[in-house]
Amino acid sequence: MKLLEKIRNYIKISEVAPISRRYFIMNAFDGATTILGIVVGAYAAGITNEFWVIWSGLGAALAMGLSGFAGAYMTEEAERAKKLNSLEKSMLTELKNSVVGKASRFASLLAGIIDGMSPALAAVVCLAPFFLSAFGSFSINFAIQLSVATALAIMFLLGVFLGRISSRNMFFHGVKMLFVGLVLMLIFLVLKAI
Amino acid sequence: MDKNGQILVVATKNWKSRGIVKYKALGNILSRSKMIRRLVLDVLKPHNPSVVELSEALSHLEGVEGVNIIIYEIDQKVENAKVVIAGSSIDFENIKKKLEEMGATIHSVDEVAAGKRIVEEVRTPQDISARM
Repeated sequence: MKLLEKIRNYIKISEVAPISRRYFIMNAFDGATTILGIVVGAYAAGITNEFWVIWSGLGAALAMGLSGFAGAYMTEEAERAKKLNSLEKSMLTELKNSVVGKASRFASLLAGIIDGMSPALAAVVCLAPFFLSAFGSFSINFAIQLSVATALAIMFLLGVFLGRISSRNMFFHGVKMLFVGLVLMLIFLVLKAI
Repeated sequence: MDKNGQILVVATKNWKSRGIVKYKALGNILSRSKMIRRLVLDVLKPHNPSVVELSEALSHLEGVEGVNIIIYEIDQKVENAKVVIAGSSIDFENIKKKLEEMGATIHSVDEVAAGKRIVEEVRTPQDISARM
C-alpha cells in the first residue's frame, strides 16, 4: 500500500499522467495498425501456416516494444533532466535526492514502459487468434478474420477512450479511429488489385 | 540558560530588525533541545509537490501537532511559503530534512517559540521608537 501511495505521489508530482495517456493511445494504435497491415498482407499472400504471421507479428511487436521503451525513456529523461536543471537553478539547490528528482526519474521510466508495453500488448492481442488457430481451435481463414476484427475493435476502443477523456462523443471518436484502419485495408486491397 | 540557549534568545529577539536569521547555526541549537513548540519558516518550494502534500508530510512528523502553510509569492517556477508548525516537541532537523526531501529549502527561520509554554512576541517602547 505504501509503495502504491508513493507511485501515486510521483505520478502527481511529475504530472506524467497526460503524457503517458498520449503515449499509450498513440502506440497501442501503432501496434494494432502494424499487425493489421501484417495480417492483411499475409491474407493477400495467401498464407497457409499460422506461424508465418505469428513470428513476423511477434518480431514487429518486440521491435515496437523495444523502440518504444528506449525512445520514450531517453526522450523523457532528457526533457525532464532539462526541466529539473532549470528548477534547480531557480531554487539554488540540488533536487536530485528530493521527491521532485525521484518523481522525475520515475516519470521517465513509466513513460518508457507505457510506450514500450502498449504497442507490444496491442500486437499480441491482435495475434491471439493465430495462436489459437495454431493449436487447432479454428481454421487459419477464421483466424485472419478474427485478427482483423480484433485490430479494428482495439482501434475503436482507443477512439472511445479518447472521446471519454475529452468528454465528447465516444462513439464518434471510436468510429474516427476505426476509419483509419478501414482506410489502411482499402488502400492495400486497391494496391493489390492494381 | 546555557550558552547556546542565550544565542537562541538573541536571535529570536532581533529577527524583525535584522531581517533574516541564518538558520544553519540556529538549526544546530534547535535540534538539540526538542523543546520547540512553534516554528515559523520562510520556505522556497517548487510548484510541485503542492502545499497540500507538503503540509500533510510535515504533519505526519513526530512531535508536530499542527501545520499551516501560506503561499505569499508565486514565480514562474517556484513559490515562497510561510510555514507555521506547532507541536509539543518539534525536531528542527526532522522538519528541515522533510522539507528538503519535498524539494523545498528554508530561507530563514522567522520565529521560534520553545519551552514549557509559548511566549508571544512582546511590544516594547524600543520597537515603537525604532519605527518612528
